[in-house]
Amino acid sequence: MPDQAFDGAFDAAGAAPGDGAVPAVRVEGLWKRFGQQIAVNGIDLVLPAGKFIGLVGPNGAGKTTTLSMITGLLRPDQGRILVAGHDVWADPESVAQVKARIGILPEGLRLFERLSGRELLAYSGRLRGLPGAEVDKRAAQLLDVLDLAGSQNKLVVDYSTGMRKKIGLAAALLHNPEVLFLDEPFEGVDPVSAQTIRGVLERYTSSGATVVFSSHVMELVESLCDWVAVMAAGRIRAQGPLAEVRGSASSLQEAFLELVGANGRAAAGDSLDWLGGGATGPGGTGATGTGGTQR
Amino acid sequence: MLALVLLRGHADADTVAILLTGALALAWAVMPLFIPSGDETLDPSRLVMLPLQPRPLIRALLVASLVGVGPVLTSVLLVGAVLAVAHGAAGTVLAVLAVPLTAVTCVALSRAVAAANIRLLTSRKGRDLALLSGLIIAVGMQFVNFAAQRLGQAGGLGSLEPATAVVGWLPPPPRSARSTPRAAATTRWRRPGCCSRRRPSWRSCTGGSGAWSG
Repeated sequence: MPDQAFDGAFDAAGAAPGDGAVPAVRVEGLWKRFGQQIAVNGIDLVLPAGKFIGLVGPNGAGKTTTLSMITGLLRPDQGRILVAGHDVWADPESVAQVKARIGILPEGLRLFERLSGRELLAYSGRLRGLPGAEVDKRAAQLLDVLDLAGSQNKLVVDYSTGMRKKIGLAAALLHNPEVLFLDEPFEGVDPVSAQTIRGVLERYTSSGATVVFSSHVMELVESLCDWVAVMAAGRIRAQGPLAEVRGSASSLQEAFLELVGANGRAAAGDSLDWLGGGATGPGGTGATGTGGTQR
Repeated sequence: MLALVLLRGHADADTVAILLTGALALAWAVMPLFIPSGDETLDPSRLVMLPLQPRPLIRALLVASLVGVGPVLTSVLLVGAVLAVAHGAAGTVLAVLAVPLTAVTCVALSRAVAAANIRLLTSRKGRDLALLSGLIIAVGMQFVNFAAQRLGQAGGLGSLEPATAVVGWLPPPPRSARSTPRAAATTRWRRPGCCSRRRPSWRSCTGGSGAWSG
């Protein structure tokens, strides 16, 4: 599948041109099917290190499946995945080794609900093998920065969605990972929490680490990311720096719709002629409906 | 447990002990199917993001599952069962070993069944099936109750002897852990020409008053 933005012009190490470093993530020929449905259809991805990377696509494109396979949460049917140079699925131990270097905030985040926020961080940190005093110090700072200090003694089961994502983010950052993977981190999150999370992530990438997050909100990706990969129906349609993927379109949203081929769809108004405020319909209230219902 | 201790020396003590242990093991084995959510603190799906190697994780989860109300109650019942049945030095030693071994077997059996059925338990259909089966079991318990009453009337648990003979050979606890103390006591202490199988008590074998020989 030719990359529209790149023409496959990668150097031997698989890094993007002009960048000699080992890529944060390298995916080759990844394939996954669920029953009859092919969720991920042989994708190749190279995500450079030190950038804020967005994986965009409509619902059902396979973003969550791809991220789950990259982070060691779901076994692929075929393909090879290298995270920071390490093969994720080489042998049973390598999955755990890769997880020690990455941070994950999955979509269906399952936490220990009966622990308080602070206890959860203390527990996660110690399970990762970090010394206790260091864990407590980092946890206190993370809770402070993420604005959770006030609810640190409240049980996680009582947290709002925004707070759950924030505590999940804190648990993912506790061990200072090289790459952070977030699956729809701003979904269902209030604007204040979203702003806090953004702040932390920007600070994190400016220090040289990589953040990969998936989203279907183009405006958000456009404002945050340096590098974008567009995915639809289990395939990668384009990948590269934001400007290149956007190309000549006015916004990422436009470019995305073009790539995905959604612009040409016939307007729904053709068949929904009963919808609207027309006086003739059985439910009509007499409002003068025009325009959109008739073409 | 007290009831089991009071049964010590009684003719049918071994029957009760073996069947009770068998029932306990069965209950542990089917529990994950009817209570799918289980104990959330032992749920490995909450640990997937952590860099834990599979073998140490399994060991740790097994040890953690032994800490809880279920295993403690099981252990108490098992202690009662061995107290009802074990006689003599060899018997006691084996009994001391048997209790923790049986408890660990029960818990491991439960986790194994849960793991084997994970696809069933995590799907919606599976959970509905589990709920339905639970209802059927609850109704079935009424029949068991009824049968127990009938046994109580029909003169002792002698009628269950054949069942005991079978259940006694099943892997987890019964004969391997339960009957062995009793067998050890019997072979150790029996004298030539002494009592029948129903009177393994050292008291009767040494010519005691045989108060429990009925």
